[in-house]
Amino acid sequence: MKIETDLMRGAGPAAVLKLLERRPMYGYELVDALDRATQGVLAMGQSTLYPLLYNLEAKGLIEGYWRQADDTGKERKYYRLTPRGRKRLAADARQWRRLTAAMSALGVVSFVPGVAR
Amino acid sequence: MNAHAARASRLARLLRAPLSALVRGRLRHRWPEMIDASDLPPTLRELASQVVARTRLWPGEREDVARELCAHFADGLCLGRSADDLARSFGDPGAAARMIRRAKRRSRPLAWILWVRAWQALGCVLALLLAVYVVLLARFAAGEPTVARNFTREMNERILATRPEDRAWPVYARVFINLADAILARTRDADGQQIDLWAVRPGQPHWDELVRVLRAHAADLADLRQATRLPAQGLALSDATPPELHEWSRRVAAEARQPEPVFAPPSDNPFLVTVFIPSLGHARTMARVLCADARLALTEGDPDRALDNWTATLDLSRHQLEHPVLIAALVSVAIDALVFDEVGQALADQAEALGDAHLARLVHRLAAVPDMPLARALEGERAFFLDFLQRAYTDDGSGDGRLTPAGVALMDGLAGEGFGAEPRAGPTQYVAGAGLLALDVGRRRVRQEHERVLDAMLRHADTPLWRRPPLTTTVELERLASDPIRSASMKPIALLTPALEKAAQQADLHAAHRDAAATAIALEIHRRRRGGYPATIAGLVPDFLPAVPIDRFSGDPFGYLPAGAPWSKGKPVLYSVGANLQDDAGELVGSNPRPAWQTRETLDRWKAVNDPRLRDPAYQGDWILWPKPPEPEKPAE
Repeated sequence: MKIETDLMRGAGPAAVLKLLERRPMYGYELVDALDRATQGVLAMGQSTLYPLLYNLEAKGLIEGYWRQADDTGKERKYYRLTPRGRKRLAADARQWRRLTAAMSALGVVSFVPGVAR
Repeated sequence: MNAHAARASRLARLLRAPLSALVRGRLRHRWPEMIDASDLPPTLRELASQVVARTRLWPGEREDVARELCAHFADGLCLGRSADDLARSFGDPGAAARMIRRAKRRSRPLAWILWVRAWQALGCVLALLLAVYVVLLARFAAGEPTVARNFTREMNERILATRPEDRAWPVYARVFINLADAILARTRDADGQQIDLWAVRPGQPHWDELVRVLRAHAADLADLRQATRLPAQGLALSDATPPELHEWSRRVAAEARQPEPVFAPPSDNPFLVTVFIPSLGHARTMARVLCADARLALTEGDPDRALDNWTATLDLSRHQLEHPVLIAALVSVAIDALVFDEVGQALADQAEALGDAHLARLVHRLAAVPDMPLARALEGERAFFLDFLQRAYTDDGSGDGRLTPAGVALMDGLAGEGFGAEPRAGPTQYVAGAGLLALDVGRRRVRQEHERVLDAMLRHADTPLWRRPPLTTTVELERLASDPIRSASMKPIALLTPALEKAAQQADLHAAHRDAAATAIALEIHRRRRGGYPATIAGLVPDFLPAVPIDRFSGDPFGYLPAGAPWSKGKPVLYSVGANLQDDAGELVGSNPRPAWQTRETLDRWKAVNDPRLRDPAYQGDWILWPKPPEPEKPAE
C-alpha cells in the first residue's frame, strides 16, 4: 500500500530513529529493516533513505561512523542514535500515541497493536 | 575504530601531510577514482557517478557520498540482489542528488551557512533595489515636460508695445557700427602694450588720437545723445543676433580671423537662459565714448556738451534696465559709476569749467539716479527659474510634477556641459536620472524652495549694509551644492540662484558713489556761495543737500576732511571707513581699492585670531570717495 508522501515525511524519520534505538545499523540494513518490519508500508527507496539519514545527521539526532563489517570485511558507514536523537524519538513517540488515540476515538482507525492495515 | 579515534587519526594525518598534498587533496576530485576502484558492476558505478556528480557538493562531501553509495551497493550485491535490481530500486538519480545535496548542506559549518544567508539577503535586497530602480527608470523615461508659457514673449511685451519711433536701439546699433573701426583698433603704447583709448585723459599719451576719433564721429555722438532721450531702448530679448549687429559680428570675426558667423533666425520660445542681451556690452562701450567726449568738451570750454554727455550716459544706463534681469542692473550701475567718476574728476581738476547752472542741473540729475533695482532684477531671475521648471519637469496640472530626462540634460547643460535647442538625455543621464527621481522632491517643492531663497536674499539686501547679517542662504546654497543627496533634488536652485549677496553689495557701493558725487557738487556750490567749504558735512544740509550722506559701511555720516589731504590739492576729502569699520581719518592705503564687505561679527572674529585676510588692502585704511587719489608710484625696477 502506497502511503501518501506527506504522511511518509512525518513517519519516516521516527521509524528510522526507532530502528536505530535498538542498535547501530548501516544504510542497506535500514532499507531492508523498514521494509520487513512494516510489511512494505514504510518501504522507501535508497534515494530517499540516504537524504533522510543525512538530514537526521545534520540535526544531530544520529551520527555516522565508518567501521569494518564483520561479515564482508569491507568498510561500511553505520549510524547510531545520539542522546538528542533519543529525546526526539521519545517526543515523537508520544505524539504518535496521542495522534493514534485521537484517530481511534474518531473511528478513523481501530487500533490493533502489531498489525498494519 | 570509533568516531573520536577516526577524527584524531585524520587530524594526525592532516598535520603531517605536506602543504602541496593538502592542496591537491582539497582541490582535486577523488571520488571518480574511488568509484572506479570499487568492485561494482558498470551499471552501479555509472549510477553512483551520476548521483555524486549531480549533488554539486564540495569535494570532501562528494567523497563521503560516493563511498557510502559504493558500500550500499556492495551490501546489496552481497545479499544476492542483481545490479539491475539495485539500480531500479534506487530511485531517480536526479531527485536523489538534489535531496542529498540539500541534506548535506545542512551539515556544513555555521559560518558557511551564515555566509550563504548573508549573500542571499544581499541578493534579495539588490533584487528589490533593482526592481525599484526599474520602476523609477520607466517612470523617469516616460516623463515629458509641458512648455506652456513663453517667458521670452512675456518679458518682451512692454518692449514690443513701444512705438518704433520711441526706440533708441536702431540708433545705438548704427552708432556702434560707425564707431567699429575705433572700437576694434588696437592702440598700443611705445612698449607695444595695448592701451584703453577711451580712458585716456587730457595731457596723457594718445590724447590727440582720442580727440581725432571723437571729432570724426561728432555727428554720431550727437545722434547718440539724442537717442538716449527716447522713452525706451526697445531691444527685445532673443536667442539670435539682432540684424542690426550682423555687420558688427562679421567685422569682429574677420578681425579675429575666424569663419564668418552664421545667423540663425530667432526661436519662437527659446529657453530664457539661452537668450542674450547684446546691448549691454555695447552700452558700456558707448558710455565710455560719451564720457571721453565729455572730457574733450570741458577742455574745449563746452560745459553744456559735457553735461549733455553725462546726462546721456545716465539715460543710456536707464535704458538697460528695460530688461528686468540682474546682469542688466549690474551693467547699469557700472555705467553710472563712469559718470560719478567723471563728475568727481571734473570737480577736482576743472571745477571752474562748470558754471553754477551746470552744477545745479548736475546735482538734480544725480539725485534722480535711483538705487540699483534689485527687486525688479529678480523678476527676470524668477522667470528664468520658472522657464527651467516647465522645461525640466512634468506638469500634473496642480503645480507639481517630476523630473524628466530633458530636465537632467538641462541641468547638465547649465552646469557647463552646454545644450542645444532640444536638450536630449544620453544613456548615462537616463541611468542617473532614475536615481535622481528617487531623490526628487517634486516641482512644487523646488519652486517653493527657490522662492524662499530669493525672498530671503531680497530681505537681506533691503537691510542697510551696516546692519546686514551674514546671508544664511549663501551658506545654505554652498552646503546644498556639497551635499550629494540634497544637491540632487535641489541642484536647479544652486545652478540658477544669482549671487544676490554680491549684487546687494554692488548696490550699496553704487549708492555710496552716487552720494559722494552729489556731495562733491554740493561742496563746490557751498564754496562758491559761502567762500569756503563747510566745517562739517552736516553744514551742507539743508541748503545744499536734502540730508547728511550716510557711509554705507558704518551707518554714520561720510568721513569728511574739510582741510583735505596732502594729495587732494586743497580739496576737502570725502571718505568711508571701509570694510574694516575703523575710522582712519581718511588714511589712504595703496591704490584705494574698493572695500570688501564682511559682517561686524566676521571682522571681530578675524581680528581676534589675526586672520591673514585682514592684510588684504580691501580691508585696510579708509575708502576715499572724493576726490580720486593719485595712483601709487610704481616701485623702480
